[in-house]
Amino acid sequence: MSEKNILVLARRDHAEAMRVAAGLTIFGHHVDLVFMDHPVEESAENAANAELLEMCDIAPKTTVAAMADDLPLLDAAALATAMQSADITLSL
Amino acid sequence: MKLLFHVTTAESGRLLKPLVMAARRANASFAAFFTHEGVKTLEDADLLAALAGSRAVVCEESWHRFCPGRECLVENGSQTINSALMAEAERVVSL
Repeated sequence: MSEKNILVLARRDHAEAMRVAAGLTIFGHHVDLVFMDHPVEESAENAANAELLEMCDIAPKTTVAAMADDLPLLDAAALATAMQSADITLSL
Repeated sequence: MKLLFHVTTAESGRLLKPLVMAARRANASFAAFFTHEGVKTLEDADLLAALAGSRAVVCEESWHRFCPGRECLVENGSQTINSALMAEAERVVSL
């Protein structure tokens, strides 16, 4: 068993990606989360998941320009660098 | 464990099945974790047969959400097990 650097790409379902990302920290992995494709919907579920991320020391980033005021914005090169740096990349 | 298949969509089964068979031919040890709509792939009897004898774990929360009332024929688990499997796996295939 070994702790890994895991990159979670939140594409289809942001709420599920947040749930999985938080869960992955349980065994000590370092987890990064990138919101992609569309802005995160404002909902009670996502607000709760955002709190969960904070508890798990996950600071999300995004490739969605509309979210740039709230989160660090990654361009294509920065996203590629993040993927190269990760031991595992998950797409959800 | 050499490979972990991480299954998140209902369409992933058509990719997972040949990959599982290829892993068997290569004598590569593997496991599979099913979450979100990926749990729906387990409705395929051929896929279940292909997974026989290997560790297949379903996120119980996702199972209840997407396959309510149905009997789950693989190991019930949680995101805790997902995290543990990530630690064990040499490689992860995200489907």
